[in-house]
Amino acid sequence: MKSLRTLKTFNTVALTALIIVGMSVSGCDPLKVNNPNNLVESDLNNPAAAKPMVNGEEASVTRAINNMLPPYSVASGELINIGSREAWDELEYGNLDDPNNEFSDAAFPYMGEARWWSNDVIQRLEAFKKNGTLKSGDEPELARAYLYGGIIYSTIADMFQNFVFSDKSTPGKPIGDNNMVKLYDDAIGYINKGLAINSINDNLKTALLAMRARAYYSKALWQKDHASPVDTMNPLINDANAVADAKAALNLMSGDYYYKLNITPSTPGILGGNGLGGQVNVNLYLRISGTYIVPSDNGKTVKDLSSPSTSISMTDPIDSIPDPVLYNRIKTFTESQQYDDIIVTSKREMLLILAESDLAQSDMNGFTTEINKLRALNNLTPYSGQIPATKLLEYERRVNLFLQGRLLNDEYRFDEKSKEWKSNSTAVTKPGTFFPITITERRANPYLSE
Amino acid sequence: MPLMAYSQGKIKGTVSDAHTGETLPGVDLILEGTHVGSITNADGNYIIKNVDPGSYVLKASYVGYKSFEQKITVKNEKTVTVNVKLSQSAINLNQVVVNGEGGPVQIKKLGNSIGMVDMKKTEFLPVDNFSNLIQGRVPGVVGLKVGGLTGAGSRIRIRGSASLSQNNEPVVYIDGVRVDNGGGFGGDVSAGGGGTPSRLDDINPEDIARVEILKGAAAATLYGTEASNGVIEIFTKKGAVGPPVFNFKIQQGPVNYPHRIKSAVGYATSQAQADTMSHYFGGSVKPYQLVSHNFANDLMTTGFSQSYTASVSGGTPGITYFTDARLYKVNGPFGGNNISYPVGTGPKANDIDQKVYLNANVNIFPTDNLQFRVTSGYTTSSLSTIDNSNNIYAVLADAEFSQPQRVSYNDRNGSPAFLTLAEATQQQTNQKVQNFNGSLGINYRPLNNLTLDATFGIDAVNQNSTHYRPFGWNINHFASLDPQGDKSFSNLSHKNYTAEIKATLDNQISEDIKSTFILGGQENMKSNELYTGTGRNFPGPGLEVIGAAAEKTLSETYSKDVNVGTFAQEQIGFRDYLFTTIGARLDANSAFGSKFHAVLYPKASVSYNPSGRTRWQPIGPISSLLLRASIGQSGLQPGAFDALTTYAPITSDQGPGIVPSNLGNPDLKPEVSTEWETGMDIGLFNDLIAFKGTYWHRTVKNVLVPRQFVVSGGFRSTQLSNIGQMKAQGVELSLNGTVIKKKSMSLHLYANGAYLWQQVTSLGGAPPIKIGGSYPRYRNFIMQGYSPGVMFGAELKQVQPGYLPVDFNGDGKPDSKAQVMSYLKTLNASNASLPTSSNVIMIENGLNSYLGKPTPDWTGAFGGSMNYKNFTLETNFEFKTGHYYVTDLTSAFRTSNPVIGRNTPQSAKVERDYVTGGVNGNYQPQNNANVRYQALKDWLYKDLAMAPFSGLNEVKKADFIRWRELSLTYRIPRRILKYYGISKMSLTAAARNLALFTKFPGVDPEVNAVGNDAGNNLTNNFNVGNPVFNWPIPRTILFTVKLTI
Repeated sequence: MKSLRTLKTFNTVALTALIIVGMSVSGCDPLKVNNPNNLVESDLNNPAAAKPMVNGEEASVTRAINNMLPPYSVASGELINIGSREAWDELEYGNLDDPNNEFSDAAFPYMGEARWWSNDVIQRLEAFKKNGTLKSGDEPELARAYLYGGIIYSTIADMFQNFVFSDKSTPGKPIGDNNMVKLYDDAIGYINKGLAINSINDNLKTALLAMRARAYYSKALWQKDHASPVDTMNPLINDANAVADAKAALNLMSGDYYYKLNITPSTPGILGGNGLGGQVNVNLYLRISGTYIVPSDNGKTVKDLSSPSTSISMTDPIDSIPDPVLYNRIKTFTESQQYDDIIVTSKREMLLILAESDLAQSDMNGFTTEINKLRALNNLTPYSGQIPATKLLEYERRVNLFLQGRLLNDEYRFDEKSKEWKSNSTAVTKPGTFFPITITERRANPYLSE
Repeated sequence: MPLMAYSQGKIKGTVSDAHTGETLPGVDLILEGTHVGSITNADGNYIIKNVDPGSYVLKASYVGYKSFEQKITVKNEKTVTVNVKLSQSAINLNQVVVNGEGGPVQIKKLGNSIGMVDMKKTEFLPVDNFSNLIQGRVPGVVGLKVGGLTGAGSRIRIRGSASLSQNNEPVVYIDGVRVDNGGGFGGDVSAGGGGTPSRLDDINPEDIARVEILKGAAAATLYGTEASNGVIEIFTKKGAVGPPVFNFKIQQGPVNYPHRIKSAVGYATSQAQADTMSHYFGGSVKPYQLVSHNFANDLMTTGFSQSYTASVSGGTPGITYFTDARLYKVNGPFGGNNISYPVGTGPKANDIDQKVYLNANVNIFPTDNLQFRVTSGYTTSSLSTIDNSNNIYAVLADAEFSQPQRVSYNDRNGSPAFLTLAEATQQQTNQKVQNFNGSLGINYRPLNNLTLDATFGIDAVNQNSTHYRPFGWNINHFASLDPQGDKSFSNLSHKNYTAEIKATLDNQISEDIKSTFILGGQENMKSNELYTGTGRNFPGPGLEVIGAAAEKTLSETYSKDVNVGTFAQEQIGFRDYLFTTIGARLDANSAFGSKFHAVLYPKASVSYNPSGRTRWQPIGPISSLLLRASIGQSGLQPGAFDALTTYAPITSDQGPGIVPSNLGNPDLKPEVSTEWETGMDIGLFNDLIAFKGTYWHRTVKNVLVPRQFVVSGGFRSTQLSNIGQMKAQGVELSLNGTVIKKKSMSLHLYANGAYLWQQVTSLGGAPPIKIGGSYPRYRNFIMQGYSPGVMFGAELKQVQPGYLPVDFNGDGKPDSKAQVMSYLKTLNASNASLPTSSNVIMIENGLNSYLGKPTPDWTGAFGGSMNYKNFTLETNFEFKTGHYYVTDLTSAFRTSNPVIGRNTPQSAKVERDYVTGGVNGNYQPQNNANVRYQALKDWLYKDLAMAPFSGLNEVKKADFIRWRELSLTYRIPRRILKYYGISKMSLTAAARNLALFTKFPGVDPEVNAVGNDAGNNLTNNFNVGNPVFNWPIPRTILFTVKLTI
């Protein structure tokens, strides 16, 4: 009798416990926990997400370039290592083909993200458009998405020796060194689609045209840098499409036009881990090379930005004054701290494209006209043959495209060497070498070896 | 005890040592099967009042003695006198433990080992926080120090690592309530990786009665998901029936850093530079003369530790209570006053750890079969620390960067980069924490053989941290980071709710067979809300609120994890010497993927206690014997939202945006750890010596691997997948006993050791995982076929005798001595610089050379205690040894880095000799190629390190023995004290971290770049063996007065 009672009591207790657990598991479902921190896949199917996705694409492209510019600029000699992180040294020496380099490796995932996300956003917005669900007024957002796509594809082609295109967790095969030039076609294709959207305003149209001019120009430049050997004998570019777009863009540009990807204190997520301004202006890991600036006494910063003479060491080859273009750029860059905007294209770059085209065709009048338009932006003495035109072109590209990810490509074709490069570095022994697919991708991708 | 009017009896007596006759205070006595008991007073006397008439079994237990049991009969209004003589014993198989079995159970019934820390054994040791309490007491339980900064806690590892991607900290309960086992600062706030507090140090060690440790899945199955790294259950003091007992404890003493940091050495290369050095360092310095100064030692001072504790405990048969209050404060040994500051400025950073602990526990016994337990602990803490560790703005890092040749008026430590030492001391990291842990427990025994027990509790932590650089903090105008100041904050609210209900049914199935069946359910819900942000650029001095900053960022994150489980266990005992147990737990968790619902963790164990048989005869010296074996499973669930494909918010110049975040995996499920262990407990020589040995083996399947998928696929972050497997095994041994036992003197010795082997047996096709991402200096990897955290990196190319692994002539081959000399002869003091380029220096196999593992084969401790009359001397040593390697990153920076390094006495000389080709007595360069050759060899084989040669010359053998604790206690005789109405009084002088014996060349092999809350779990788990500008573990001397009234 007693054991029966015991069993009954026990069963009651056990049942109570099970009911509590059972309610927890099923009825009340305490296991259902919402994530308020992020969006999930289904949220992106909402056409209202179109603009945020394009904004995100812009952010990812900006972040990628902001993190790729430091290794590029150290490799080109625009920046030098003054801090504690030795991996900058190898880039400074001209060894930029090491997949283990922490800075190119840290930047690579951002480039991969920006590339994939650009494609994905474009596809999603195209789907909205096709379904007729793209919100009224959001068509320019699609054009903007194409612009960012064009920027990232072109930048990848500019800076990498090889690249790989994967989709989420599905690895892709590397496209091969020789196929990298096709990325410019992809970039141009995107921009063409952007320009084909009627509702874009002039600002966006200007940026798209200028970017397409840059992409055509860069494609031609790529072919010189990647010739075997590098085509240093005929380094000048004359690309009709680039010229046409540059002219069209210039017609829409006013003042000293720049198209920038902006970084501000309200966009901290864009900075990434090793952003350009942060590395140079905040943490003092890097400094602008003494080729360009007068360093401070302790060697850590620019000496005195109050005037060009106390800050700029590079002098204009005609006026023999501290270069005002560099001064303006470096002053803005330094004062921006880590929030320096990424310059994508500019009126100056368009003028340089036109000037170079003329020079390549031995049209000295044309060259002089265009280069003097450029020099006039800083009230510099017009060019009239004081120095060889090619040298002036090279110089003007160096100062007007400073810290924009162009110099290394120019150094190869003009057969110029950063004074920091070691004689047995890859930049010297294998000119035309750009950044590799880095170790993080290599370890994860079965089509690549470490 | 029913409050009834009829007559009741009493039990009284004295408890004494059976061998010496010495009376024993503090012995627990209880009538078996009731809540009625008492505790002996300072004279060893006890009395149990209001005992209902009847037959009972009186039980007495005391640390270091065999349990005592005697049947007694109590009659109306009679007093039964039972004088108890306890025999000293190093082994006590009848000791009752609570952890892991769903209810109280004797050790002899367990198939698994269980670690125990009894506070009575640490009473006089210099233990002032939980991290120190847990350190080195139990084989297989390791405390990983982050560094020697005041307030820094330890990470705890039990039997190595049972997970790759999930937190490897054990689960911690206080009186049945799950508590926050994290730490750090959180969000935007960091002092650099070190100085991180552990929330477990919010537990007042003075409140703790004992700690039980389940070391793995075999023992912790009933705890279910999250228990595979072991479970630590803390039992707080509850008081005992008797008059109020007042305890006071005062503890004070100095704290100092050992001087283990090498001086900074440099040399001038010009007369002007030499003159400047003469001005600041004295003497007449010449170019190329090595000048030394220890800037690190300048930062040190003598700190002061103090704590004050008052408690009262006691009770009546219907209620017992314990309450205490403790103030603990350490003003640490960082000073900063002995360095130069601009006029009107001085150090602002501090290292102060202050805590106030309040605790109140009450046990209420309305009836014989009903008990209510109410516990509450509240801790408020305030921590100030300095920027530290692997952080370019760290105070000690800057001191160690210092280069005498760069000293100037505005830079008195010759900082080569980032900031000056004086500026570094302007940064302040502070944390204020309120931590509450409370529970309500109900124990009801409706029938003699049925017990119902329920525990409901909450652990709530509110943690506010700030990092602050005031306006104009760059007082030497050197630092470029936010000269107008900045401030970061994080406000972390952590809550953990625990509810557990269980029923225990005892059945005497036959005369020989007894069954104990347990059925229960548990729900645990933990949530974290984090608000964090940063403000930069204040408009003026004195502003300390983020609202005043020109630039502000803010973020908020929330996570919630719910685990619901039910468990059942059946234990069959045969004649009280053979026990088998089977059980299981079924868990569901909110973090499981949508395609996975619940997981079942089974367990089984057997224990055989031949010495418990009535016909047992000792076998030679073996007086007690327990053989045991167990197997069980436990798990670890993924993170709260790891299963979801997510897109994260990001803001662009054009407005709010979205970027890819988490790939997602709907199949995510817990990783399952299967552990079996077997072992024995042996009592020798009438149990005066005890040996305990355990072998264990663990296989973790479905290991959650943070797989790095192709980053070209758009998602940069890793994604968890259940694709891995890990194996581990180990041996845990302990030996302790009484070597000498005389009337006025006794000597007890102990030693324990734990062997650990662990390996990642499969990554399921995922690529190797590098800890620290692309940051090349941490060389720890998760790699298939190796111990987790294994280190890989560069080693120099092997060359024939007469050759060096350099290629100056560019032929792609190592140069012979003649070739090297040919190159060196081209150098002079103006163009010579140590080679650092990968174009010149030749290494083997890229960065893929095996360099060692950071977890030692063996960890353990040894020591003992000696009692002589009223004196007690106690000491213990800890050791780590066996294939134990640590990356001496601090030295790597200081010997190799061209900007911030080459300033140790040895490396500065190497560089000076290479540059000059040697100097004469007047320090003039001699341009001797032979000197350069020797310097080059030293450079290559001793100093060269870091990228692109990461790992080279960095990883060193780290075996050590640390003299951890020493104490001398004098107990003032009772005959003196009783005149003052004092029961007990003792005076103790103790020291902690007295000495370190090691060949490791760095500051301290025990410290590490990161500690609690190091970022992601992968880093938290496996960024080990990486000391980087960490402060050494300080030496603490404590003088203690304890008083009982």
